[in-house]
Amino acid sequence: MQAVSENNGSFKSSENPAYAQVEALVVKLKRRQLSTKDVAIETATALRKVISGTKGNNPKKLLEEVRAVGRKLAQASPAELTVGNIVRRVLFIIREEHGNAQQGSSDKVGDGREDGGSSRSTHAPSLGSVLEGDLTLSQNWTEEVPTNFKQLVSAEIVELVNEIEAIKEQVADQAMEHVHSNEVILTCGFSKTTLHFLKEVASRGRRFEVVVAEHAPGLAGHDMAKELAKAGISTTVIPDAAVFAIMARVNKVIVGCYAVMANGGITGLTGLHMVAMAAKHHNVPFVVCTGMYKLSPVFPHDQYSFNELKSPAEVSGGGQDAISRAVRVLNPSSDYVPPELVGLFITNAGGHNPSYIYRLLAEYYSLEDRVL
Amino acid sequence: IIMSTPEGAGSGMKALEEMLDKKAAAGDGGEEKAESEAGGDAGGDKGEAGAEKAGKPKLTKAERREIQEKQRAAKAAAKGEAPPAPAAKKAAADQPASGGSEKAKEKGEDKAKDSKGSAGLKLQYDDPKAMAKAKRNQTVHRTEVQKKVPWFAHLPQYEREASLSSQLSERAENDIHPEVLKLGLKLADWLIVGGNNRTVAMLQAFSKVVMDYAPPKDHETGADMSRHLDTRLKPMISYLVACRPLSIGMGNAIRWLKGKIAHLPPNQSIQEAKDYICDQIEAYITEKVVFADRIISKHGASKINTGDVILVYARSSSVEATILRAHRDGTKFRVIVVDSRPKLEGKKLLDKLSAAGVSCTYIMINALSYVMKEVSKVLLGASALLSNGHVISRVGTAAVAMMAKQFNIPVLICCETYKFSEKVMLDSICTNELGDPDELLSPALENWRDVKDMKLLNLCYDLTPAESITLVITELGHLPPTSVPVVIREYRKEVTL
Repeated sequence: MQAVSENNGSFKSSENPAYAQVEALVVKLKRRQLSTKDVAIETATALRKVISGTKGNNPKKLLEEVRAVGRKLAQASPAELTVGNIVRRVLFIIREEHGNAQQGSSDKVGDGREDGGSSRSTHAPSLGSVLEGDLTLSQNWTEEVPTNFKQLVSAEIVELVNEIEAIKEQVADQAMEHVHSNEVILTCGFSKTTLHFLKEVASRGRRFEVVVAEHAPGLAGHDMAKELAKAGISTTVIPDAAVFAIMARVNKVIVGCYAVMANGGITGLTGLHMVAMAAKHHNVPFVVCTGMYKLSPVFPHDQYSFNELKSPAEVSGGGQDAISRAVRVLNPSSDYVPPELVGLFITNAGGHNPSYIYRLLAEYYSLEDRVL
Repeated sequence: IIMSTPEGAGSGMKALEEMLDKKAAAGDGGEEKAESEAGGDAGGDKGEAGAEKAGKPKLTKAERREIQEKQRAAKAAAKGEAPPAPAAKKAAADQPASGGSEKAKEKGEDKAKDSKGSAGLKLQYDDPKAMAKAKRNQTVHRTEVQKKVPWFAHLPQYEREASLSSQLSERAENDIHPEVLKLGLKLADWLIVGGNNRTVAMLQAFSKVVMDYAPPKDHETGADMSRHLDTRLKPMISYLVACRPLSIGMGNAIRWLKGKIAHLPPNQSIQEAKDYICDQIEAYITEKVVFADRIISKHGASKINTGDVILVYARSSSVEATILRAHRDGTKFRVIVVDSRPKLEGKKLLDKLSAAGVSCTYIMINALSYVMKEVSKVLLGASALLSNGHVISRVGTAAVAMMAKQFNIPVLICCETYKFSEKVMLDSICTNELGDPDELLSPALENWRDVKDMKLLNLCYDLTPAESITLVITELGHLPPTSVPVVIREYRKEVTL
């Protein structure tokens, strides 16, 4: 549900030359043209431009700029949680750099200041500080910051982009531990992270089998199967309906996702909930390969929270066979899988249980940014 | 009952039909010729038997019969069945045929017991010797898929036969009735779909076979017919199996029919016996399919209340009947039709229902969890109900039932009692049907045969565990899924006699 935007008009490019890029990104998001990873990288790049283009050196102003741009981007594609994640990451970076700068300057001045608020640790509040210290660590925004503050933030964002680019390799590094010999792996649709994961195992010479559920109506599974077969992995393509039937022979389910929820659940391709339930029924582990940039500080309660309905034309067909207009045709874009059904997350930050995910939120996002 | 005979079904089919009609006109003469070949097996087997004989040392008739009796008794003892009736042996003795054909006929009877005890699949498709042997008897030769899926090596995996009709037009033997030939072609092309449709079509074809049965000379009593008709039907049944594996309901119907043929009332003339059998078939269809569906739809419609949201999957004739009945009764409810590739049968059900005025929603099976919250009941059809309470149905039914159960939504199965089976199965892999893999094709996979490591798997059925099912609606009333063996036991006499 799109709330009425306060910023109905576009940003004036005279205020910040980066706004043209932001507008272009907004259009791409509205048209749902980008994959999750591309969304992340383009958002980070656009925000970096925004920061460089902002006049002055005031971190608070930077925060507000980023937040305003971020809100606009998030509204362009509300179901795409990655946008909000990256915005929050950038805000966290700004706060962190500001904290570092404060610490640096306070060290320079000499005798440690008792103002615990400003000497905030460079990392998010630890359990100790949360229990004993001040929860709302207020920073002193009026303090002077070094002149290269924006460059520092920019450099951090570049690191963030590099981290996102490197996720495939980092996840694949753990692949050999999880796929053993002669295993049968089930996967659904097309996920680049999972593809890389499986190709890594095959390249090291281990023999295993993959069953790919084709994922109607887009049939992304067919492309996945083609890629897997090219890599020399023995692949079988099955229709989605056969997932429960074939689950009796499957050893593991490995899939990718669109976003990881704060409670350890995931949003992913439609049909993943069905696959996860079938896996639970047959006691087959359900493994999700993802990058930490997909971790979102939101809690869903049902299938509709972060879902949208795509065009029914994909399902209802066309021409003679088309379904009459009197019939309601539903074509949701994603599925929510609750944390009880997810067995393991394999991420660039290692392997995690769904119950641990909430703790990782503190690593990447700050409390104040939960709501953009 | 929907029987779709397509108009303009392709020139190949038309040409074959014309040829078959001509053969039907030739009719009785053809039947006699088949009988004179003696031995129920296809001509190929007879030739093969002769060749075998030539290789072994020649025994006298009496010695051969001794050996055969010993073999048969050993087999019967091993199986714990009663030894075959002496009447059958006398019939073999009476036959004015050579010893070789006699041996072939008895071998044929043994084989009938061996491989097609229940007209089901006892043939081991992953045993090369058994397969080679079976191939010699086959009426049509199906090409196996180039890339077999290893988990299903024990099941037949065939390519879609483009040249089935031409194979049949080239056949010299006349042991398959044209009606059965036509039926086989339609089944192989999935033109007749659905458990009830296939069973009814098959029984009607066999009814014609019985009507056209012409006995050989000196065997023109009803009692003789009961012996010969069985062997006459055997190649036809194996032909139908080669075209498309029989469903469990069809197997039950065949077993019932064989029982009826074997136990004809005594002292009937041929014509009376024929009429009797055809009447029985007619009664079976009416009672077990038509009326059963009516009763099921009545019971099922009583379960649908105002404001209900009913979820259905793919296309089942009994579910369709139930929903239309409930709609006619005036209940206000709506239906969600779930569909899946590659068959997309749900679209046809959707057309029927929305034409009747039922308010429908249509989704693919992937969107199941999106709509599950608003569903109040799930109505599913079945291909067969097994003795342990599990349900065999169109692939995807298991996923639908499991999901509904997780959401605590009642799952109702509509199933006629003729589909109940004594088999037990634990997963969908033991017995299944593998369809044409090319149905899954898309532009991305066009060259899948050339890619070394890629296979396509097109499963037709799956097994829904009994825990997912709340209720089974049959013509006998509402039953829990665990009551299947009870029903089979109580009605066993009716089923086999």
